[in-house]
Amino acid sequence: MTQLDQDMWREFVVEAEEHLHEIEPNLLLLEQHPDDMSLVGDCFRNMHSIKGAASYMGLARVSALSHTLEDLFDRLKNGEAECDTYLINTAFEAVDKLKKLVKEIAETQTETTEIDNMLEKINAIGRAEPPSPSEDRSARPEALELRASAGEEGGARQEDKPAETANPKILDDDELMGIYADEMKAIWARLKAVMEAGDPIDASLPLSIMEDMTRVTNYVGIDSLLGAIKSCSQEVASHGQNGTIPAQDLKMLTAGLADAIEEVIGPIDVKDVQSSEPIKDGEEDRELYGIFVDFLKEEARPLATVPERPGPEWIQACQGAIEKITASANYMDYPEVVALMEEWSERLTESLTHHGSGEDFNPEKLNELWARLTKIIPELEDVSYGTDQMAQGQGVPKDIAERGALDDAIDSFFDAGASLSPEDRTGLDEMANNAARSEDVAAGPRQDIVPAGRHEAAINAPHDIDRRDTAVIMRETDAVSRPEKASQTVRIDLDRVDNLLSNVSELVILRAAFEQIAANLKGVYTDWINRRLLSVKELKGLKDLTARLGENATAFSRAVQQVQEDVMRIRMLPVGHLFDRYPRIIRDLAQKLGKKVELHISGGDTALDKRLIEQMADPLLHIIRNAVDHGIETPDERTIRLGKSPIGRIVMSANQDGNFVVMKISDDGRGLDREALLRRAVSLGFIGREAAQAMPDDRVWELIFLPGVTTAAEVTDTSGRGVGMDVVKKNVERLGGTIRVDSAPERGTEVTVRIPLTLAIIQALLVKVGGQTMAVPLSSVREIIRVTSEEISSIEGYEVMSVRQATVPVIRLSRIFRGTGADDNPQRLFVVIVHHGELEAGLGVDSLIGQQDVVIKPLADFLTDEPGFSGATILGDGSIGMILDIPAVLNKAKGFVQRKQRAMELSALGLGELSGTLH
Amino acid sequence: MARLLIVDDSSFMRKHLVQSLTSAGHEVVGQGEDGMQGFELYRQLRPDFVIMDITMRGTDGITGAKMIREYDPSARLVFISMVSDPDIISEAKALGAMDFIGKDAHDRLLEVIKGGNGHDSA
Repeated sequence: MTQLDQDMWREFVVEAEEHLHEIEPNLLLLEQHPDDMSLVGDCFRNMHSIKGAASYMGLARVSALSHTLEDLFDRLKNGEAECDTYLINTAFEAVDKLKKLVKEIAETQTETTEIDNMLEKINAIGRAEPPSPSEDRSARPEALELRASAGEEGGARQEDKPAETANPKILDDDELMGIYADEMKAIWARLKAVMEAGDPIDASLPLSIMEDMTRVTNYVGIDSLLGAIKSCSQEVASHGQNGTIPAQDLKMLTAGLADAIEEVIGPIDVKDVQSSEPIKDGEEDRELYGIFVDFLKEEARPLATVPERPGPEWIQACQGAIEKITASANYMDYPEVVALMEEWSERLTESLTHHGSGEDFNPEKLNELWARLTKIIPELEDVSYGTDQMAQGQGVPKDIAERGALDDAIDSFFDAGASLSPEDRTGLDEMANNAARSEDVAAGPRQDIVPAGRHEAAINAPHDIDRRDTAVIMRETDAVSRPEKASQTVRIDLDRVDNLLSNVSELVILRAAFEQIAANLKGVYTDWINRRLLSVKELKGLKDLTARLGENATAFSRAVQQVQEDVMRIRMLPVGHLFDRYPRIIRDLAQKLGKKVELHISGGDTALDKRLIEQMADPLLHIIRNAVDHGIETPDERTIRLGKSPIGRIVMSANQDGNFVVMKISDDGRGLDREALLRRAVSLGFIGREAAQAMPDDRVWELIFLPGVTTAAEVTDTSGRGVGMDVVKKNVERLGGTIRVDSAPERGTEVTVRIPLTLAIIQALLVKVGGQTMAVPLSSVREIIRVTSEEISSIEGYEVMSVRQATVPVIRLSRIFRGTGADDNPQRLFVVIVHHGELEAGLGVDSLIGQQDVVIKPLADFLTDEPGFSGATILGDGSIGMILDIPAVLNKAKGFVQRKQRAMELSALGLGELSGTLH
Repeated sequence: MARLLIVDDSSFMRKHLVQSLTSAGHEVVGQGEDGMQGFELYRQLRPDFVIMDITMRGTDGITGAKMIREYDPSARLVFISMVSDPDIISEAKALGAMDFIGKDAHDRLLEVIKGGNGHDSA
């Protein structure tokens, strides 16, 4: 078999996942249309493709399971099995098992999930006779090949058949065994090093080492050894206490394993194998070693500082560090370090893939690697990198440095320009002429710039919403699966897109820099003219240059804008990817609760940033569970008591609205219980009893977002514990979105979620607070007012001002963010009125700079402890501007707003005066 | 060395086949994703061999092979598939396929091509 590289594994996983993703909606449809043979055919083909690729890769379990499922669909096609709920449930169960196996393969390239029971279960379907011998055959992967070849007469084929299935063939291969033995020796040396390094030992270290043993052993397929490793690691896992294990115990437990390994590959404890004793001991050339350590200390920084959330800069820095360290370690002939770096790189990719699939990035695994590196190179232990911002934003200082260089270059250019000789000036004139010509060129694209509205129209246009409107569960869109279409698309690693975006972000920053330089240059020119330093004629060169720079800066801006939009669009995926997850969940849930639910989906083509799609998965899941669990009634209740159709209806829709995507999830169930909500909110002390009675409906529905509030009469194991909607709301708001609930008794509930199209670049209003520049997301800005300090009064410790008969709290940013160097109480100031949901407040700032697209750079964790900033951005002049987290800032004025609301409720009942008490 | 056309709907399988065949010195002149594409590519490229999967979305391999066979009775077809249905296998054989190979036994593919090619030049 050819050497299978990482790429091939990844390719296999991607394709298998695609098929598994495809089969789910098909199974759901099949449940509703059991006679549709084309659906059976589709399911068959999905399994068949997985089987083909899996047996090619030598994945026994995946291929056995997919083969058995394929058989099942075959029996279904031939009428030998009946398409009932049991069959569909079993098929789903098997698909879940396959998913699990594929995931294992993605992670460790081994199959660990047991499938024997599953195979039996599937094989029993549609067969009156209990498991026949033939079933045993297909329960074992060997049976596969026999079956596949059963229909052939070709005798030549028989020769290599038996060999394929048995271990001895592989063991015969001396070369392979040699490699295997070396690998095992190296891994064993690592285990030994761990045992000698300390006492007690972190149990995860030997476990991860044994995982590696399993991985390489799987590759050669020595079952006896696999068993030994497995039982040993189980013993270690159960033996450990609080995650540690005494070194003595570990030695005892692994002694048996050592014997088992030696039986296969001979003595493992060989001296010449690079052991993981600190390298220094066996190293003669201390000077070289010292250089290497210094180099490591320098380069390994990103590896040592693993952030909670990996940013593209950090990933890049890691990859760079791994490359450099590998190269040096190779040169120094430290195979230990090289091997570790290889593993690192693998783990990094792995954990990012996980991250990409919506699972949490796990820094532990990478930190563990660091611990191992420090074991090899003990000198690294005393290096403390800290978790400074640099670890995340390596790009930042570089930009500033480059910016500085640009400034210097421009300065020196002007120094030179001041003493231009006549000849030089002719050159300048020529340049100016060229510039004039290029103006025409530059003017050209201007007409081509599509107004923002048209872009949106273009995105909205191909929606074809109707196609899916009536289907209970949508099928894969034709466009995705049609072959000719497939050849037009390229599959790109999300990391690469993120990298690209990060580079585009740099461009956006540069663009701002250019615009600023152009403006500055113009300022210099005007200044010189005004001060009459030189005559107009003498300044002509400068004027032309200014004009040309201005023109090109504008053209550059437009080009960057376009690139930025395009890249953002690459990151966009149809929300259908998100919606596709729910039919299955709804089905399982409805089945469990004895309810009947049909799901209607529309607007699945609406595009949304991939990251947002991932982050919306859980909130939507929660909303949907609520709808099925609490919204939809049982069929009896629906028909007998309410006269509704027995089948409940849930509608998920998405559409684009400006820079936002609006998703709606509605059900036709019993609706929210106003009284129950109010009772709960009163008992939890969120509202007063009197206020509760007068509260308008839409405000009552908002109560569901308060922590601890639930409408469920009883807690079920799916939802209703009262935790949930508050978390959903928090998550949606974290993404810069809003959430709203509407409900009507007996008619249903509708949840509307509005989230921004993308997270990476936002439009912001730049404001100045003292010496600091801050960015206010434009989506939150309602208006800007210029006021004098007299217009601001103080009520109950809050500063407020009157804006069109309404009282709005004023938050002086200089006060909440100390150290801005701002005058705390200036005579005149600007107030930016911002809102978030219901909350509204004015932000007091010193001056306004303007509107700009800003690229959001995430903040280091320790900075996010103090809420108020959602990120940072690099401004045109290279300085850093903080992006305000409006919900967090508004929180500071919340007390006031709530009091005001209560007063208004009282006044509505005639119990108080309309906000007069506040003025 | 032979000029080959690969028809398989799985990009994973195509990639593998291309890799193992090119490393054996053959030239993969085209890749199709279903029987119809395979047929059209055959007309354009006139490869020495067509390596054809059977179960594909779109036009299946048997249909594609029939079209190719009708167009060029001397076309050399090799099926590579996991299909175990004896009817399909005999149908494939009836089409005059040179061999029918399981995807798990792809190593055999090289021998078949070598044999077929050698026979041709001899």
